Formats: sequence, structure tokens, C-alpha cells
Amino acid sequence: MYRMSTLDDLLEALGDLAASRGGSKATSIRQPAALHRAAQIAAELGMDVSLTAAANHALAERVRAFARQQAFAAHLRQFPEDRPPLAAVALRRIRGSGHPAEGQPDLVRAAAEWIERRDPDWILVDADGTVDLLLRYVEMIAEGVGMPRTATA
Amino acid sequence: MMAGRPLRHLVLDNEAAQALLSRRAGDRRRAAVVEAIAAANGRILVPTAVRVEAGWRRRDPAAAYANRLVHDDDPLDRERADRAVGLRRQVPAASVVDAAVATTAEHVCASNAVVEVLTSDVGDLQALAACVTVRVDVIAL
Repeated sequence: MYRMSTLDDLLEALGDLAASRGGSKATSIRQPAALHRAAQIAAELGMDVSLTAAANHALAERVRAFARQQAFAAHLRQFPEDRPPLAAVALRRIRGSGHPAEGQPDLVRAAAEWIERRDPDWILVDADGTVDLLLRYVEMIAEGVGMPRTATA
Repeated sequence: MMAGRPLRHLVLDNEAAQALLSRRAGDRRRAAVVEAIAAANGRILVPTAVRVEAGWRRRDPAAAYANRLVHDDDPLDRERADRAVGLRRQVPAASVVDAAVATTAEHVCASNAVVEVLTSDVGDLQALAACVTVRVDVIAL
């Protein structure tokens, strides 16, 4: 009888991938011809060691991100009170890293509040992308991008 | 000053693993672990020695939620065990599990990244962190 795959099956498969278990499998994927050609050229130009490596790399990254997102969703459905504030996550991400936003905690909090108001489900949609975006905003503001420059004598 | 995308790994110590296994509603320690997991955009690992101490058996149905958020183990193999012995010689007060946590942190972390160790045993872990070659951020649970 057919059993629908679960998140746990996905995580187990990713575990095999991380441990390099399971060997390799030849597969055929129908791609737009132009994408195939573009990827081949990009590989030749140094994007990756080969078209196969580039495709595997991109697919693995996409699947890992999807699994992480699904794991958060499953956990927060069961324990909604565990949802972390975006500001806390962003400040923790940069702790000890030397990132310019490390010295701007108030700015990080203000930007996080603004993003959370616009996108309250950030952790379920794209947690890492949202934190990256927030840190970029803060880095940009901290560097005075868009602010009038003070005249110097 | 570092620019670009910061990379942060996470290694769980015993108390963090136990907190993540909790199924109690409103468990603040579990929420703190979830925050650490969300903040980590690199590898998230639990050393196998920590799993033994925390009683985390992957096949237990009660471990399902913890398994989903932290699915990678770091085994204490021959090389890692030798390194842990060396670290315990430098920090004799450290337990076997603490030394295993420090070796995992050292193994996972590249030079441009930070590895967070989430623990309630801050003193010993900080002493071990001073002996390893990577940037370790020891955070109290």
C-alpha cells in the first residue's frame, strides 16, 4: 500500500546525504534547453566543477532550506509559544561575528519590528532570507546610505 | 570589521538537548533552544555523547520534534576521541561530554564562522573554548 512521504523521511534522506550514504543514481530531468545551455556555460566559466555538481549543489540547498522551513512549521504548530522574535534571532546570528550590525542593537530591533509587522510569518516562509535581509538593511542604514552628508570645511 | 553574510553553527550540550526533548507547553528553555536553532544558518549538530547523556534516542516517538530541528549527529570517532582526550588534559575539570562538545565545535567551524555552544556548563565550556582553534560563542541556557 502506498504510504505518503513525511518530513521525517525527508530528514532521514538528508541525513544520508550529509553522511554520503546511498551512492549515486542516474536520473533524467527535463529542463528548458536554454537553462541547460546556460548552466553548462556557467560551469565552464567556473560556477562549479561540472553541470552535475552545479545541479546537485543547487538542488541540495533548495531541499535543505525546504526541510528547515517545514521543521519550524511542524514544531511551531505543536509549540506556538516557542516562536522566537526576529530581533533576538538576528542579534544572535551576528554575536561575535564582527558584523557591522553588532554595534547597532537598537537599529536591529527597530528594523525587526518593522519587518515582523509586514511579515509576521517570516519564520515559516524564509527564516534565513529574512534575517539576511534585516542585517543588510541595518548595515546600509548604519553606513548612512541615503542620509544627507554633513558638509565638511 | 566583517562584511557580508555571517555564518553561525550550533552545537548542543546536554541541557540544551534535554530542553529540546521537552514536550511541556510553555517550556522557556526549549524556546531558547529554538531561538538558537533559528539563529544558526550553518550546521546544527548534537554530539553522540550528548545524546547518550540526555537520553535522546532517535527512534523514540517522543523525540520526533527534537529530531526534526536537529537531525545531524556528530559521532565520537577515533580521531575525535583522541582530540577530546587532549582537551581534557588541558582542562581536567571538563567532563567527557564537555570535551566531546568542544571537539565537535572545532570540527564544524571554518575560520570565517562562529560556532555557538548552548550549555548550562558555561565555565568548563569556556575553558575548553579557549583551547580550540575556532571562534566559539558559549551561551548559557
